[in-house]
Amino acid sequence: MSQIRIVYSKDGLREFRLLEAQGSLETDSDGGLCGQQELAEIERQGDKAVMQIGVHRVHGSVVKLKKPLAVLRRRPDSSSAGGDRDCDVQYDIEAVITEKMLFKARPDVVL
Amino acid sequence: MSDAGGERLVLSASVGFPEDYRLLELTPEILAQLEDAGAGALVVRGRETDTAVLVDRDDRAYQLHTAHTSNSMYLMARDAEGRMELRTKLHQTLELQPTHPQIRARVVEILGRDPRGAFRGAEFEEEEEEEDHGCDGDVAMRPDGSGSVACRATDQVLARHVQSGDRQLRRVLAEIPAFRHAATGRWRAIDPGYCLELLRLILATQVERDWSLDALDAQQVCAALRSDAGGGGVLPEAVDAVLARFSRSVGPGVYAIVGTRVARYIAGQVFAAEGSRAWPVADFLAALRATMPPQLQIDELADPDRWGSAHVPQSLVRGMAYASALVDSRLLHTAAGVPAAATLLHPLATSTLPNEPRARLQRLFEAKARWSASEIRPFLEDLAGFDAEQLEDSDAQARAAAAAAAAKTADSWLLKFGRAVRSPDGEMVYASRLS
Repeated sequence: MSQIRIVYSKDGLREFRLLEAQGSLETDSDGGLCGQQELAEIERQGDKAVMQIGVHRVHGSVVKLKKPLAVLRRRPDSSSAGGDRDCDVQYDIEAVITEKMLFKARPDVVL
Repeated sequence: MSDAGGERLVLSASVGFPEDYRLLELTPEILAQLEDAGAGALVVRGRETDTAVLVDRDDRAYQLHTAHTSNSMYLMARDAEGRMELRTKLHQTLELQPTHPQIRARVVEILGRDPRGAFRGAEFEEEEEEEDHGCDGDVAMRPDGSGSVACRATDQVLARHVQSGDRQLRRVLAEIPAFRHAATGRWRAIDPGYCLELLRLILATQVERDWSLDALDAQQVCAALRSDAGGGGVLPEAVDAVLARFSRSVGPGVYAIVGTRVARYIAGQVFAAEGSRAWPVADFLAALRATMPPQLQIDELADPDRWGSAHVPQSLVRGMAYASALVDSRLLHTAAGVPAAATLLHPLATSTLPNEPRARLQRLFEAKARWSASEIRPFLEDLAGFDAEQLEDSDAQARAAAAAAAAKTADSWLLKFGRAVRSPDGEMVYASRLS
């Protein structure tokens, strides 16, 4: 069996943002979104946000999360080649997010 | 790039999109603990067959649940050039829900792995302490190489298998009681009979040497026991564990015996000896007095007439037994209750009850169809975070505040899972509303 350690270090925190949308970001590219450059722009003013993707514009808001979210990333396994049963799974907390940009309206078409 | 009062982000997607990230909801308390310390780790404990439980630094336990959403959640972070990149897309977060894992049962199971059973004195330890070869926290090789066995109870094994923080684990080990063998690092449960025998030896030594019951030095006690004819082979760790079990610490290695702790321990043994037998109060008190060390005077035991049904929930058997009436059970839920002569005590140890409010109340209502709030609260207070023994040293105001908070929590569960009815005498009692 193993234990799971979730490691926090104030010095190791990075800036992460959370965007939540009722739809999803899609592309016709064979590789999906992977490596796509400048695929969207977000303008934020106070607690309002506007996202533009191509000819689509969607209005949203910045909301404070009821409970903060820790962004976890798993460390590569350190188990030995022999399949050590005592392997601890470790995650690092890379960020703590306290707000999100929420887009739940239908996008408008902007010409 | 930010304008005054605003911000403009240009989004790209990372080369590795979607990357392997997860989102874990934190409680404000856990976040404060992490930020105050600056660095640290949260540990998710348990066996592969357990529900994953995260324990924070204050020994609060939380079950991990996956919460799904049909919305798309995109995590974004800046790359080396400062551009905002989409890193991953998620449809779930991990949520924390407060829980009370079964700690004692798991500790007792692990301590029970020792083939010699509970510790009954060095003179009965015929076998040498064997090495657990290659213990990985779960299994070890038999010394003769003939197969594997479950690892015995070391700090490492307990930490991996018991879903609790260290402080709570130590409290459970102390309550059993158990001691950590200095030479091997393994924990051993102390046999209940030997525990009382050792306590009697300690108290006899205390009388003989005219020591104060309020300031027993563990080292002096152990040295005295070892030098006496009957104390040969006494382990200092066992002496310390027995003193800690029945005392308050008044200094490093110095203890003040608490008579009620001894009485409750013996009461538990009296009940355990005869299974689920219902005890007339007079019989129970006689059995208890017969086993209590004579040096420890408990006023409560001296006056059997005090042990009417109304007194039982506040007595030294609170959380260990409930009362019923030999005759005319309608009197049970009246203000005066049933007199001691007509009261029966039914053993029901909190440690044997489920650790979740709904399941616990279901079990309590199976044991007895109707409970008053004062009768049932002692069987709920541990779930509500009230530990009377831990608060022994606190002032009366703090104890009362903690008790009131726990009562409020217990009452909320009663409202949720019970149905309040009025007894013929006007007392409010609760029946089950659970199917």
